[in-house]
Amino acid sequence: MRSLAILLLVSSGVATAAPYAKSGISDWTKAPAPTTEPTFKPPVAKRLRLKNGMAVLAIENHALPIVSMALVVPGAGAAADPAGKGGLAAFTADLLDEGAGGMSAIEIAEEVDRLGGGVAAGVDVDSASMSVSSLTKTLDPMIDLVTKIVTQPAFDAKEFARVKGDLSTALELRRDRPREVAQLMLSAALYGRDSAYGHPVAGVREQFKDIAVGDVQSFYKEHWNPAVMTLVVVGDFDPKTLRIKLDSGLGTWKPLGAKKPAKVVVKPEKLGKRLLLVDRKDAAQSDVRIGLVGLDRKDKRYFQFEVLSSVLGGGFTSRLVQRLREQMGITYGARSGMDYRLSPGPFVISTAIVTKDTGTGIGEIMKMIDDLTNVDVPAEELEKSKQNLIRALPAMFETNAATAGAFADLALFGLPDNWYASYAAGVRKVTAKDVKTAAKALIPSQHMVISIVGDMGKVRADLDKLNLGEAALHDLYGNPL
Amino acid sequence: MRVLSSLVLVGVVATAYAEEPKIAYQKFELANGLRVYVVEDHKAPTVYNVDWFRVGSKDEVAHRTGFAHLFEHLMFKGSAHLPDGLMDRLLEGAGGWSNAFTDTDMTVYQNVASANFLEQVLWIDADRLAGLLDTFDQKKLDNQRDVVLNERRQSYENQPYGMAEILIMEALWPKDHGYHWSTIGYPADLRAASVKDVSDFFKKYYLPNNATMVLAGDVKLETAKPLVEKYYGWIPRGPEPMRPQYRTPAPIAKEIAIDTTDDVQVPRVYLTWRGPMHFTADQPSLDLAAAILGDGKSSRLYKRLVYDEKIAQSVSADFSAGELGGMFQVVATAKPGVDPKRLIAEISEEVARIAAAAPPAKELERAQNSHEASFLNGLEPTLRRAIQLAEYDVFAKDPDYLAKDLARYRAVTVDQVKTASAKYLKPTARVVLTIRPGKKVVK
Repeated sequence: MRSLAILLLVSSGVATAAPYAKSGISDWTKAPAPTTEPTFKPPVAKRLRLKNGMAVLAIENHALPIVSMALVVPGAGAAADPAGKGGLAAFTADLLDEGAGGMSAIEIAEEVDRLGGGVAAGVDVDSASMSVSSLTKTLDPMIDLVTKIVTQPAFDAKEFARVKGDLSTALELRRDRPREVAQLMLSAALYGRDSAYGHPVAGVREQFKDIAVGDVQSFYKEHWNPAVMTLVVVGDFDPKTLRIKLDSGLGTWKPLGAKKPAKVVVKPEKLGKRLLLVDRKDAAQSDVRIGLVGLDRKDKRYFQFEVLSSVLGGGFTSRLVQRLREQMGITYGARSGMDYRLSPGPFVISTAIVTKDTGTGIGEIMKMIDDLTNVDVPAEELEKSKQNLIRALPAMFETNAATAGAFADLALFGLPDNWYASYAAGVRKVTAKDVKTAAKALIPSQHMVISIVGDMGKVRADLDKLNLGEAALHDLYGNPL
Repeated sequence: MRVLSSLVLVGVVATAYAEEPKIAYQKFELANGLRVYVVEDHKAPTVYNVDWFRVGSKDEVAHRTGFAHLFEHLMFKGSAHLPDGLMDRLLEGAGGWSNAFTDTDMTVYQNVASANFLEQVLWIDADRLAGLLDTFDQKKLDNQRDVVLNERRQSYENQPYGMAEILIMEALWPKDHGYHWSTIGYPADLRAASVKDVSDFFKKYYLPNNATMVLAGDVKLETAKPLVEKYYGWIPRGPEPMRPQYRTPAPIAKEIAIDTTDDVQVPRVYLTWRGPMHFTADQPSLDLAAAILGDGKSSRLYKRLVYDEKIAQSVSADFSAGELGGMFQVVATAKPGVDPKRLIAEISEEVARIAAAAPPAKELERAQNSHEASFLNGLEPTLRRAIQLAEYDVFAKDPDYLAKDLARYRAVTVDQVKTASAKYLKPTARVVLTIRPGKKVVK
């Protein structure tokens, strides 16, 4: 694959060696040994409950005069979108700060800036959330503002129409974002196009026009339920003052009509190999997503899977990166991971491969998967992957916002607040045999669905040679043709 | 950065700290010129190693655009005593990672590991600074050239509106200026890079006396200093690099309009002006002018184009500045069916307005508060503080600059916002790029 000119140059020397003898170090070849392994204790949360049932996790960190908050709302995610109104959950969350408690959308934005804060709503499949950043000295007014946004959204018809216009346009522009389209096709194939987990969180382009302001109001009423919410507060605050503040504000919020979150039922069926294709003429790369229905977050095989995924596509030394990038030079990056959810979420391998080598690259990925199911991971590689996970745990709490997110996850999935304390032990237990067993059960290559957005005129012939199952062509929005 | 957590609640966010934030460090310098800062922060058992090299894409020579960044990739391909791939396996096994970024003015390497691996990190890092070339070969170059070409595809060619940066830099700066080309470079130049280029570049710029190192996190000076001396102290100093020198370009006398197409559905416009260099008096005023114009929902352009008139899907304004100059840019994406000329006309009106009349004090105060809060929040991660300290060392030539940095933004007056806007944002001195739906054009 290398050009002729390059072959001629391979043997030519580069330069004289560096004067290592002068360093006074007798053996440069040996990596210096680490000193005593440090101990790390994850942050400990104090759990409170407000009168309306809302849980509060408080974690003090007085290193800097700042505070981060994460409000997690189980059941207010895209899985709760009603049939034919895909995107309602995201739209609802988006509208919260577009006017609330007597303040206009612009007034809210101005107040957030004036206070040196930040507010962002987010929506995932199983939940909605609100992330807030604040300076310690403006925490009180920031909490007041957030309380207004969460408890008294105006859902004003004019603002609704304006935001609907913006979001509809964003969905129209989706065809310009091939990565998003590749992901969307994969989810639709794995779970069913209109199912709770199968439709895109940001919305279904063809359904968005049918969402009315009344839909948003009912969605909010039914799914923004304080009794199931958890607020995580991390940073420099006084816990007593915070308690009083929350008791007199968010804690008094007792809306009527809220529902308990419904459990999403996923039947993890083996689909057999399938190929989902979008022809994007002249694309320089093919955007690739390969996956199947995997595990829910509380599955007993969680740690086995985490080690498996770390070996396959968890970092720079993972097999995907080493093979596709460092050896073959056909991509800039590749990774794999499970999107853990309350019900089994998708396992996805993502990469973008240069057009001319798309077929070769996908063939390699399938071989790497088969290898994991057939051959034990060598001891050194397994140890590297496990130690990477264990020793990287402190990074999960690097910032207040990261810590808030980490604890919000536990709350959403119903895991104990001290879950991270047993994380290292969980990883340590995983053996090479576990990884192979998990690979066999969870990522069989013969059931991988492969989704590709690329220049079909240039990649199709190579793909067809790979025996990747039945091919289904889709339009530029990822809808079946 | 240590800050007293005093709870002084006042209306104005800025100026309310009981003690000014600072990045506390200890410093030493090796005989070969390597400057080292140690920033102790024992909140997590992690060590961060930042090496800031004073070389970027502005230092590239003719027909070798993209080389500084390509070279950055090669620093991860093994060295005298570490075969290709070993450094990453060691660092990831130590719970960390290794990465770098290249910009017009600098190349910054970051190694992260569990704190008990400090000596191993320094051994790895010193081996590539001393002995990168000892095992370097054509195969490594070819592989990373392919990777960089893929990076270009992923981040530019296969991105909607992905050619904008490249086209704008070409137009904004003359051919003989170091910002004329984008850091990613041109494919033909990347393909032309040779092993000899790698060797020359390494010998010229990758010198202890052309670098600043920061060790941050769970590390102590008394442990770090002997180890840095041991692994880096013997590496020879080199001659001060003779860099390409650039004259201040003649001002743009007449608007430069560029029209192109991309495989997109709605037009996007980019209005760009040259601005002052970093760490100059006008930098904070233009930064705040950009915030007032186009940072978030409370900004003037958002209110007008997105909120009120609904002719734009999004709009933003930004000022960025480097060693050779600055760039003030407004970007707006049209709603379907909106003529991009209308966006250009209305953005021009708003820019003219901020250049003609000082903003209300309340509006500036909001921009200042928001700037300061996001700046300080950005320094929460230890690694970001390490990088900031290196930047202050190299460009502000003052490692204690943080307090001054905050102060210069607080000190900006409404009149300075107006005056700086009037001075730099002239309607004749700009580059206007319009990207319309059509065929993708790749350069």
